[in-house]
Amino acid sequence: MKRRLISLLLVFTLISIFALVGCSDNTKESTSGDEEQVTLTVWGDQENQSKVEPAFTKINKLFMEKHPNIKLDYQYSGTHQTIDTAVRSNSLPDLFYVQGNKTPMMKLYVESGALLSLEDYNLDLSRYSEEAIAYATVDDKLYSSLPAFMDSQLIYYNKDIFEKYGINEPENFEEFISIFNKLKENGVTPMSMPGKDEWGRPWLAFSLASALANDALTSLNNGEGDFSDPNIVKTFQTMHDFAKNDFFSKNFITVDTSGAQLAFTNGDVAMMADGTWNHPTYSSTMDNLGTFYIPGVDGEKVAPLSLSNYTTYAVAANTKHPEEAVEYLKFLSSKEAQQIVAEEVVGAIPTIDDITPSEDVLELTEYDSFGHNILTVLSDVSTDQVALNDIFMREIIPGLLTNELSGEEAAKQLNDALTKTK
Amino acid sequence: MQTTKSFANLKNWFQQHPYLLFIAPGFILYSIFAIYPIISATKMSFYYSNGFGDSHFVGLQNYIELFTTKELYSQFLNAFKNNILLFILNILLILPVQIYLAYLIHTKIKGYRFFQSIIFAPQFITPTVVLFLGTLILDQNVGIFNEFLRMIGLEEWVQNWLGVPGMGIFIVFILNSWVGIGFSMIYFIGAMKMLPEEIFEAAYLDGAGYWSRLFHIVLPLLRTTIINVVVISYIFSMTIFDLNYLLGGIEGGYEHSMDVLTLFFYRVAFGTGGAMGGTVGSNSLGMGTTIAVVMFILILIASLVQLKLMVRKEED
Repeated sequence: MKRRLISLLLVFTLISIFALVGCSDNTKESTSGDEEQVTLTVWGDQENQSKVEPAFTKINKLFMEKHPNIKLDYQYSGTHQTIDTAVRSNSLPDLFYVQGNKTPMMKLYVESGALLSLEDYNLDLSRYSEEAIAYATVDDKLYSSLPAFMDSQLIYYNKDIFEKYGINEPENFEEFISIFNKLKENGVTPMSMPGKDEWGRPWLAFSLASALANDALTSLNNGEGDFSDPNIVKTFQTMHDFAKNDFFSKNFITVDTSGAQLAFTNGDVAMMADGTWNHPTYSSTMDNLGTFYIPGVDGEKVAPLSLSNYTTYAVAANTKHPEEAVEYLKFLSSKEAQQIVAEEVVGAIPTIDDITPSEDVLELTEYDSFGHNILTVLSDVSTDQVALNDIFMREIIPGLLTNELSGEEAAKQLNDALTKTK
Repeated sequence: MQTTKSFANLKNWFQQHPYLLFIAPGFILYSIFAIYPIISATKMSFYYSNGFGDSHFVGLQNYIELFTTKELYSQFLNAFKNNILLFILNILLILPVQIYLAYLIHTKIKGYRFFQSIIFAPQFITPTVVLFLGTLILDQNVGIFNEFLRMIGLEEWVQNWLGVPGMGIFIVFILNSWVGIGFSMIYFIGAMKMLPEEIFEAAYLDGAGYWSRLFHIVLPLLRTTIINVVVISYIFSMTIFDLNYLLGGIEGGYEHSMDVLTLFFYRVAFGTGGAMGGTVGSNSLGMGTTIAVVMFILILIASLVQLKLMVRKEED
C-alpha cells in the first residue's frame, strides 16, 4: 500500500513538472503599468550568425531602449528549410529574414498568404533607389524592410605575380583576356576555379555577364529580348573557351571552393573570381592582394549588383502584434541601424551615400556603375514550373566548364526554357 | 447497468489476452510514427500540391507523370541504378569478406575479441564525421593518400579523389562498407555460435581441413542467415542517403552520378537548396510522395520475396 502511494506521488510530481514546463512559455505577456509588454520573436540568419551577431546585438539593444514596451526574442534559427517549413505549417515567428527578389521564395510566401503587407504602415522610402524598392516589392506591394548593402563579384589577383610579368590591371576587355594568355605563356596557372562547387564556380560568369551584356540583361529584366543576344552568347563562350584553353588549374572539375582558395592564397595561381563577401578571407591571409572589376569592351567597369539581406526582414501575416513588428522593420530601414551594420559586419558595402563604409571595404567600391546580376534576372523571369536560375546554375555553368555546351547551345537552352514560361 | 456489464466484459477480455496490454504502447507509437505517415504520404501522392498554396486531387496522374516524363523517369532510373549497383557491390564484395571475418572470429584466432570490437566500432561514427575522415585521406591538398602517391612516384595521379566525376558512387561504397562491415559480421558470428559444436568435432575427426569446414559445413547451415543479411542489405542500399547527400550535394554530383532514390525524393519534395534559397517546384509534395510510395513498393516486394524463401526453407 505504501509503495503504491509513493509511486502514485512520483507519477503526479512528474506530470505536474511536465505541465509546468510546457506552460511556462505562454506567460510572456504580463501587463505592467499602462502599456502592454509585447514580446516579438525574430528569426535571424543562422548561416551567417558569426558575421552579423555583433551588429544585431547592438541593433536589438538600441531598439529595445527606444521602445521599452517591446522585448525582442532574437534567435538565429532562420534557414531556408526552417522558414519554408514554418510557412507550410503556419507556425512562423513574428519576424524573420527574407531575401527579396533575389530568389523566387518571397513571391511564393506572399502568394501563400504568409507575409503581412506593409502598404498601410508608411515606411520611409526616400533614401532608397528603384532597385532596392523592387527588392522588397511583390505585385506592387511592399513586404519587407529595405536593403542597404550589396554584394558583388570581382577578380582578386596576386600583385607579386602581376608585377613579375609586367601585368597591370586591365583597362578594357581585350586587356583582360590578354592577361590570361600572357600568364599561360609564362607557365603560370592564370585562374583558380572550384569546378566542383555549384556555389563557387559561377562567380566568374556573373562578373562576365554584367561586364559584357548588361544591356541585354536590362531588356530581359523588362520582359523583352532573349538570350540569343550576341553579348550573352559571348559571355557563355568566354567561359567555354577559358576551360578549353586550360586557363584554369589542372582537374579543376574536382576542386572545391576551399581547394581553389588555398591554391590562390598559396600563390600557385594568379587570379581568383569570387564574391566581395570573401574579401576578409583573402585580405587576412595575403598582403599582396589586389582587386579589380572586369572592364567591358568599352572599358566601363560594371559591377553585378546583388543586394544583401542583412537588414531585410518581413512580418508574418498572422502575427499578434503587427504594429510593434513593423516598428522593428522601420528601425532596420533607418540610417542608424544601417550604420551599425556597416561598422560591425565585416565586408558590408553600403549602397546608400549617407552610410559611411568601413576602411576595409573601400577598395571594393572601385566600379563605375551597377549592373544587373544575371541570377536575379533569371529568378525574376522564372515561374514555379520553369526555373531558369536552376537551369543556369546546374546545367549551363557545368556544361560550359566541361565543354559539353558551346556558348550558342547554352543560349538556346535558356531560350527554350524562356518560351516555356510565357 | 449496461455500461458496467460491458466494462466487465472488456476487463475480462484483457485478462484473457494479457499480451495485448504489453504490445499496446509499442503498437501505438509505431502507428503514430510509421503507419500514419505512410498512409498520409500515400494520400498526398494523389494530390497536386507544393505545400504553400492550394492542392487539388489528381488521382494517379502523379504516378503516370513520374513514369512518362522523360526528365523525371531518367533521373528515377539513374537513381535506382545506383541503388542496385551499391547492393550488388555489397553482395559480391563485402558479404564474402564478412562471412570470412566472422569465421575467423568464431574459430577464435589470436586477439579475436579485440578484432570483433574494432571492426564493429565504425558503426558508431556519424556519416558527417566518416566523410571528414575520408576527406583527410583523399583530399587533394591535405589528404595522406595523395602524399603516399607522391612518395612512391605516381605524382601525375594526384587529384581530388572526392571530386572526380563518376567515381563518387564508388567512394560512397567504400566509405559505407568501412562503416557497415561489422554490422552483418555480428549477425554471422551469432549464427555460427548457434551451430552445434559436435558437428565441428566430427568433421575435424573425419579430417576436414580449415577451409573445407567453412565451405561444406558452415555455409550450408548459414543459408537462412545469409538470406536474411541479403534482404537487410537490399533495404539498406535502397534507403541510403547520408553520404550521397554530403558528398554529392542535393543534385547527387555531376550529372547525378551519385544520385540515389532517397536523394531524388528529397530533391523533388523539398526543393533545391543553395546559398540563395533555391526553388521549390509547383508539385513538390505531390511528386515527392509519389516517389516515396514507389520506393516503398520496391522495398516491400523484396521483403515479401524473402518471406517466401524463408517459409520454403523451413518446409525443407
